[in-house]
Formats: sequence, C-alpha cells, structure tokens
Amino acid sequence: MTFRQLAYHNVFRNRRSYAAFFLASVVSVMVFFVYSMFIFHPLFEEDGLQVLAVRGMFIAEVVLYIFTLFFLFYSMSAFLQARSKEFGILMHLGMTKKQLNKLIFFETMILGSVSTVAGIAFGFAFSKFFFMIGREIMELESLPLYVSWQPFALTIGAFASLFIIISVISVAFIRTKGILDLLQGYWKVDEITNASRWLSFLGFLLLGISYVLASVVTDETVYTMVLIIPPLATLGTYLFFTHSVHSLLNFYKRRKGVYWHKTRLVSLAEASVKLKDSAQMFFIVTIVSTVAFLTVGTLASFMSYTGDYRESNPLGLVYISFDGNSKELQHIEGLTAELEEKELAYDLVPLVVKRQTSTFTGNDVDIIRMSEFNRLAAALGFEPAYPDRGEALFIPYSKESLKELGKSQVQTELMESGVELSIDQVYPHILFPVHTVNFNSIVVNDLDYAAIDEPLQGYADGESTFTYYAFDIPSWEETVAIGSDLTAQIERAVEQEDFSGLNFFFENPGEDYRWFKSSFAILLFIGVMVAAVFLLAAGSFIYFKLYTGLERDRKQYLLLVRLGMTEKELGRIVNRQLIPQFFLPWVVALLHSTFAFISLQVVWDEFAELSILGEMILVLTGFTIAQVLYFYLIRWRYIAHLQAS
Amino acid sequence: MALFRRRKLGFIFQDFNLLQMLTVEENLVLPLTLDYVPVNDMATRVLELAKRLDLTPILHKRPNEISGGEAQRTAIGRALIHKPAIILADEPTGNLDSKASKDVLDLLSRVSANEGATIVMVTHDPIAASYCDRVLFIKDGEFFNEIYGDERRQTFYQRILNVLSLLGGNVNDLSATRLP
Repeated sequence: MTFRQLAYHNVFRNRRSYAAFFLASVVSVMVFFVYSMFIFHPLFEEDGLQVLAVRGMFIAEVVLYIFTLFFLFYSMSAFLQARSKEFGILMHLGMTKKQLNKLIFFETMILGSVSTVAGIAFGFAFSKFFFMIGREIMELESLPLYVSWQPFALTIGAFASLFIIISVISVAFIRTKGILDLLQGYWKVDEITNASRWLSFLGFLLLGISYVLASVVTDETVYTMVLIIPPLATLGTYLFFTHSVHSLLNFYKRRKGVYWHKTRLVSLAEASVKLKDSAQMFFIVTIVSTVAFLTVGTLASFMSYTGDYRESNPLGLVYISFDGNSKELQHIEGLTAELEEKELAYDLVPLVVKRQTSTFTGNDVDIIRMSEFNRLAAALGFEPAYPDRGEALFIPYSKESLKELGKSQVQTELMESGVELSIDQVYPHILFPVHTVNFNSIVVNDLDYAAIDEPLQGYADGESTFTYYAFDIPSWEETVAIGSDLTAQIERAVEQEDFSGLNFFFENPGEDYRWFKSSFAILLFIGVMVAAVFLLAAGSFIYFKLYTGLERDRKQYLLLVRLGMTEKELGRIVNRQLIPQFFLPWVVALLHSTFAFISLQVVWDEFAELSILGEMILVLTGFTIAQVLYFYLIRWRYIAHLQAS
Repeated sequence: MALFRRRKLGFIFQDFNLLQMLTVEENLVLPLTLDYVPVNDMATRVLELAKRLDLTPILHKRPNEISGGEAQRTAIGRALIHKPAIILADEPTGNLDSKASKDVLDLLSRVSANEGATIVMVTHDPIAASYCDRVLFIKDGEFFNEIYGDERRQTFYQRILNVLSLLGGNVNDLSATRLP
C-alpha cells in the first residue's frame, strides 16, 4: 500500500459518510456545467432574451461557485473534525504534520476529481434535455447539442481551483494540539450545555424585532428595511440556535415531573446534546433554506405577474391616432396586411374618443360611445354595457381600479358641453392596457355622446378627439414583430424624450407579454436549479451529522435495548431525535420566508397590483413535501443501520 | 518527534486503535507507508510477519470482521513491522479473554527474545505482569516497589501477588518493564 492508496482507501471505504456530500458536489458541478453549455452555445446571438439568459446563468455560476466553496469548506472541516481519532492514530504511528496535510490534500483531490468528472458526465448526458427546456422557454427554432472544449474547460478549471482552495484551507483547521486530544475523538465535546440567559433573550428579541419590522414595512421604508432586516434576522437566528433553544430545553428539564417521564428522559437529554453540537449546522441550514425559498418564491411571484398580465391586457394590438396624423390609414393598412400575412385572425374596432372636463374632479375625461364600446366587448366575448341617457360606466384600467371604481358614485357635468351624467357603475372587465387609457374613462349612451359638441377647453376641435384602434387577436401571443417599425419609432421617442412629430401611439402587448414571460421563465429556470443545489447541500449537512453520530448512537441504542426498551419505544426515540434535526431549521426557515414574503408583497403592490399569496403557498408547500419525503427516506435508512448491530 | 515515533517506537493499545477503513494487511503496512518504503519490501515483510503472528488467513478482512485476539495481534504486528527499538503497550490484554491474552503475551515474550526490542507495558493483570523481567509497582500515581523476575514464571507470579497484597488489596496499577 502506497501513501496514495491510503488516501484512496480512506475516501472509498468511507463512501457512506461521503455520500450526501458527494451528491451535493456532483449536482453543483452538473448545474454549473449545464449553464456553461448554454453560455458557450454557438447559436446564441446578441438577442435580448438570450443575452438575459447568458447573463443570468453567468451570475448563477458565480453564485454557485461561491456557495459550493463555502459548502465544501464547512462540510470538509466538519468531516475532518469527526475523523480526529483516526488522525490521532496516524500521528501516533509517526505521521508528520506535513504528511497529514498531504493525505488530506490527496483525499480532497480524489473526491474533487471524481465529483467533477461525474458532474460533467451527468451534465453532458442531460444537456440535451436542458436544451429542450431552454428552447421552449426562449422560443428558439432549435437548440442543438454541440461539443466544444469551452464548457469542459470552464467547469474543470473552476472546480479544480475550488477543490485546491478547499484542501489547502481545510487542512489548516485540523486541531493538532495534541495527539491525545485527537485520540479521544470527536464526541469529547458533549459537555453540559451552558446557555447564556442574556444571549438567549437577545436571540428571541432580534427575531421578534425583524418579524415585526418585516410585517410593518411600507413602500417608503422598504429599501432601508432591506438593509436592516436580513442582518438582524441572521444574528437572531444564530443566537436562537446557539443559546435560546438550550435555555428552552433547560427550562423544560427543570420540571422533573415532565422530564423524568418514560422515554422523554432519554430523548430530551439526547436532544440537548445533539442540538448543542449541531447549533452551527442548524444555523447554516436555516439560512441556506431561507435563501432557496426566497429565490424560488420571488421568481414564482414574477410568474404570477405574467399570469396577471394576460388578464389586464386582453387586446392584441393597440394603435392610437392623434390629430394631424397623416399616416393613420397607411399604418392601419400596414398592420392589417402584416396580420394577414401571418394568417392571424383579428377583429379591428376603431373607437372615436372625445375628451371633456369633468366638473366633479376638474380633470379631463375620455368618453367612449356605447355602440362602439359594445362592438369591442362583443369581439372580446364580454357582455355589452347599456348606460341610459344621463348615465355612464367607469372603464377600469387595472384589477385594483376595478374594485375601487365599483365603490364610487359620481354626479358630474361635462363642463364644455353641459352634459349631466350620473356614474355609479363600473364595467366588470378590463379592456384596455393600462398605459393606453386615461384613468378617467367612461362609456356613455350614444345620444349623450352626440350631445358633446364643444371641444376640450384650450384645445382645437381636432385635438379634443382621437381614434383608438383596438385589435382583438385570439392568438395574441403570435403577434411578435408585428408593427416593429412603429414600435421602433415609439422606442426612439421614449429614449430621446421627444414626442414631437409623433402623432400616434402603438403598443403590442402580445410581444411584451412574450418577452416578460420568457425572461421570467428563464430566471425561474436558473433559480430553481440553483435552489435545488442549495437544498441538497442543506440536506447533506443533516445527513452528514447523522452519519458521524451513527456509530455512537448505535452503541447507545444497544445499551437501551439491553436495559429493556421496546422496539416501539425505540422508534419513538428515533423520531424525537430526527424530527428536531430535520424540522427545526425548516420551521425557522419557513417563518423567515413567510415574513420576507410579507415584505415582498409590499414591493409588488407598489408597481404591479397583484397578490403573490397563491404562489407562495404553492412554493412553500412544495418544499415541505420534499422535506417530509427526505425525512422518511433518512429515517428508514437510519433505523435500518441502528438495528444492523 | 514524528520521525522518532515512526522509526523507533511501536504502540499497542487496549482498544487496538486499528483504522476501520483499512484491511488487516493495510493496517500492518501503515507505518511503512508513512516512511515511503518500496511496495515490494512491504509485501515481503507483511507476509513474513503474518506467518509469524498467524494472521495469514485474515489478511484481507477489515477490523470489524475479526475477533479481539486477532485485532490485538494485528496491532502488535503493526507495532513490530518497522522493527522498533521500544514497544509501548498500554493494557494490551485489557479487552481480551484469557486464551487470547495468553497468545498475545507469549507473542510479546517471543518478540522481545528474538527481535531484541524492549517492551514497556502497563497492566492491571498480575498474570500479564508475570511475563516480565522487571516489575515496577505504582500505587495511585506514586512509585511503590520494584521486583525482578526469576527463572520460573509461576514463582514470579506468586511474588507479584505478595507485593500486591502488601499494596493494600483492591485495584492496583502495575507497571512492568521487560528487559531483553
């Protein structure tokens, strides 16, 4: 056996302890490699969506790299600590510190190269699959598999450097104070837990403060709070696991009536030792899970935005022609020709809109005639509106306005023409995209409409009316690139902030929608994969803790069985031990995320009125189900290993 | 210090301290591995040693598959393989039954006689002590008495017991040194 073989045996015969850790590294390499395959894809062009995808994936790669570095470093040093007895024996036999470092370096490099190779192999095997998803999301004609040295070089380079860094630093963390210390091993740390009362209180206090702050965030304070709450909550979480939990347990233990009761004595005593030992692990798992929840949750809330977008933009295309627009006919003909060329069915409803001043608010109002409005409503499949003479309906511009306008009742007079109107209803559907309609828009009876004969105050006759061309296109998502020259003109004007000489407005909600939807889907796709790596890593911490303690637990259970503990009681003790390990960090992370989402809702409210509650519940439930399954899997293996003795 | 340990000392422990990941054979060659001895040399030495210690049938087993006596013989083999000048043994028979203890002690005697290694052994067991050439008695951490062995182990054993009763009965530490 050579020195290298020794390192090799150490890794491969310890594979059960390395399993979860190895799995997390492989998945991390795999995701990294898949991103690299996208980034270096020869068919990717300088197109908006693809640039976004490449940038997003690049950032995700950086995040993955940093995260994997920390994850591996933490796992490695915990692992080395758990093996201190083994190192003690080796040093007793005369291993020098230099040789020990070399051994650990070899071991890390073996682990690193195996997981890099496996990760790349899986990544390459599944990249066709990921390309298919990517092609669907980015709506590309094709995204073929390709072979190039670049993704391989990037991945190998990144992870080789990562594992070298890990092996160099983790070596520095082995405590080699004395061979005897090492020989006594890892579990020497089971001292009686001494939690500081003051720090436990501080832990609760900090968590409480951050929750309160998170729930009272308003849109003005949100940006300062983003800087304040996360550090508070992080520190609070740390103190909670290192001190508060123990104070609670000690409090519980002091009530002997409760404590000295059947299996509780064993399980509580065990729990307090384990909790102390795992406090840092719990802290890390909580933070990592919270970040994963928030990533997926935030991206999922983007998706709810796209769902909402369809409802508030039922029109396929909007063209508004103002006074003095000489190209009106030419533009409309151009648009219809483009639609026909693409063989898209459409319904064009022109609406002549009159502008007047309302005496009630003093603002100007856009007025649409009932007959024209109902033609559009019929085209969209909505019910018609029939305001009588002297009556009118509000036209909502968003879901929120639909609710508010429904409550308001207005008696007003159109100042210029002297038409009196009572408005006490709102049309129950959103017809017009929010930027294309005045916030004060109403539908009136055709007779009232005809009675409006004076122009808006301070404007000429032509200036106080405009024509709104509403295109209803059932397959509205297919309108990509229709009217692209008009879009370009609008964009140019927006960029230069100069709207003079632009006598029309054009909007293509279908195209916007496709863009939103695809870019959010890309971000979600990227985010879910990163979050999956995070959660796997969190899971592997727990797995690792269980396995390093397994040998010791087995001896203890053997003892308990000899003392006359039944199998059922054993199951109960295992549950009591595993449940906190699995679900304590989980519950704290869920709480953190819930409060973070409360704040996020405020941010959303500010620029798009929608509720993310549904998405959040979906995301959190999904994660919880995954965790419960993981729990049962590990519990099954754990009991099997315990009873193997 | 590490080099000194590696080349001049051999250690035997009560709880064997074999590495669980390695087979018996690998545990045996471990000290040589640390010294980068050529593989062929290691292989010949292992085979020779295994024959002497009667470990040949279990060379490819892992420590959790073998008995306590076998494990201790492996540990002794590991302590011997690099031909140390001194072997330090901490309660080598503490975890073994009387048959295995006898095997181990006979083995140690032979090693001391044939290889010329000094063995320093700490034990509670008067029988184990009776295998030694010189016995130092330590009571509660303080030196108490010392006796030298004679031709017959049985009589030496009786003398050790006599000293022990002088020491005051109960549990006593026996520190024994065997000189070649």
